[in-house]
Amino acid sequence: MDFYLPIAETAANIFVFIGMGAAVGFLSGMFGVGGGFLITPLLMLTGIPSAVAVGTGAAQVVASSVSGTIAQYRRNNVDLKMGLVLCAGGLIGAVFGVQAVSALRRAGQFDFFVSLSYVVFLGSIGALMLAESINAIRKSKSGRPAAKRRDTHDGLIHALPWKIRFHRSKIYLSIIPPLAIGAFVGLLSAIMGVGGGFIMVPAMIYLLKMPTNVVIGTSLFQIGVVTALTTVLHATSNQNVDIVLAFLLMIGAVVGAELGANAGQNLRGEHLRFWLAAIVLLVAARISYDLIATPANVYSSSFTRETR
Amino acid sequence: MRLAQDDPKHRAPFGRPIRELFRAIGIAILVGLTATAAHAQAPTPSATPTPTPTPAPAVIQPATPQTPSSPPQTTYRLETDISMRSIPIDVRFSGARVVIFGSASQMGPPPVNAGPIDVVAIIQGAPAHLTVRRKTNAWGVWLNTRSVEFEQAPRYYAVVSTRPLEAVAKTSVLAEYGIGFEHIPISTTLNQAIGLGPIQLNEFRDAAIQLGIANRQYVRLDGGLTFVGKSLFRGQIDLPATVPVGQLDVSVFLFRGGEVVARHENRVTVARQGFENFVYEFAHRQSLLYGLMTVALATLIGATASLLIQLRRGG
Repeated sequence: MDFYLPIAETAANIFVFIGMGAAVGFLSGMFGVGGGFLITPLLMLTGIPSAVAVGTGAAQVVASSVSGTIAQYRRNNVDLKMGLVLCAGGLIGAVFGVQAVSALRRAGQFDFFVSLSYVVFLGSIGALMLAESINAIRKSKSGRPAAKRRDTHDGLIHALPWKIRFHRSKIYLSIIPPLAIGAFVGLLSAIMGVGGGFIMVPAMIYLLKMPTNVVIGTSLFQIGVVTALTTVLHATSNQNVDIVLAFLLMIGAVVGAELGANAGQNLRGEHLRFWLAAIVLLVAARISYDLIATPANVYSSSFTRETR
Repeated sequence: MRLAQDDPKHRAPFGRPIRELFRAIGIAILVGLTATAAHAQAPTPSATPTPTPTPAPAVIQPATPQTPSSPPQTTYRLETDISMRSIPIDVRFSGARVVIFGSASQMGPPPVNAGPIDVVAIIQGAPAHLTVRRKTNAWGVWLNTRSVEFEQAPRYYAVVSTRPLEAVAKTSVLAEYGIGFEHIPISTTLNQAIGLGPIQLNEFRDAAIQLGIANRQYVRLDGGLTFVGKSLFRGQIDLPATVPVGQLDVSVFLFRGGEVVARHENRVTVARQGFENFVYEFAHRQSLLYGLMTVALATLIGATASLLIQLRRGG
């Protein structure tokens, strides 16, 4: 069944987009990532103009994050205090990120820098996570229990002032590391145009040493706040949010997110991390391939929308 | 002359019954036209009121110099119309099929050795700014290194003709009227293409045309127009769902012996209707409110889904 999309200015089969939303929502609910890195290229593949794909992808991520956050909150997996601290950091980072974007655009290699950031960050984070999770899986298989009690009283991180007790994450930590991580992810997400869940999730697991389940819920909460802001910014500055397309994607995404959260609940933390690492690496490999492989057509073209 | 009215049934995709209906309407048009042609002295469309006034049929003297031996010159008359004057874009729009039809007649003594008669129609959307980028390989990585900004490039261009364009006229004639892919008006000012030679600039232009063909933005239909009888011709073209909103200019050229002897202009308006128009205007005029409403919608859908699933589980 075809439907004409008012902003994308093309007709599209509604079931394709509902299905697309469901697939991305599933991963989102399961791993606590927004899925912006997946939905945008998928939309472009179906012929949606790239600007509309970016803006509408952000709107879709809001819906799946809200649904995912509520699902995780019911399982007591959201650390609201931590989420708010991360959001505050993210806001600061996004402001600097927007500056960085205009500087890079002036230098003329913005697209290359985005691709390179993806490959470097996703590649290294994915590899580290993969190694760690395989190690953890092996340990649990050999019968030795994985180190359950995290030692929260050693290292430089704990010499920092302004300590707060994050009850849900069961950590007592200075406010500075989460603020810094939030700022760093905010910076990257402004540059890379994604929510940043892929960087936030590993950072919370390995740097803040939060439990994997709580990380996923908290990450979804933070992504929901960030992408809501991004959606409004896209709508006001570029008018590239297609509410009809977003609606179709959302319908699929919320169902997918709930199913994903259920599926993830039955997985052990290390298995969850293993699969997340595998997906992260796949995405990194895909982007590297696009950079290295000879393109089918070296030319590309785009019409600038007429100003009315 | 009878004119097809703006009829929403003309829209593609055509279900089988609609296609049949369409065919019936097409035949009705042709019958009407044939009747009109019988009264060759009354060529003006008058019976049916039209939404926009039809430009007066253009009559052009043959460009070729006439031989002194034939003082009463042959003049040509070309009249055309489109099955739809306006194409509404509503939620079910997925492209439209338009029929171009008309009659070509000549007055005065028949010319000697004047060559065959051909009709070529061009449908062109309003021009827009086009950026063409080229990737090159640097240190093993493919990067967009060059780009050219074309200030004027049609967002839609279709050329429909009775015979292959190469057989209709010489390149110089086709170029003069902007007929054919190689003559699509895609232009740039010099300062936009700084550092590029004319050959390189042409490569970008050709690439833009090739990409347009691949996207169905640029279409060529050789033999898409056919003569029905002596002076009547018709042809149809399927506009894609991505057809640009705004005005489409339809120029029809009558060729005799490789020269344009008459031309006629028509206009089709593509406009958003109802819901499509409302959303588009809202997104552009009240963009902050639109953005906030999108977020509200997302939150509502996300929360509702969670609630429903919770209720179903009895939790």
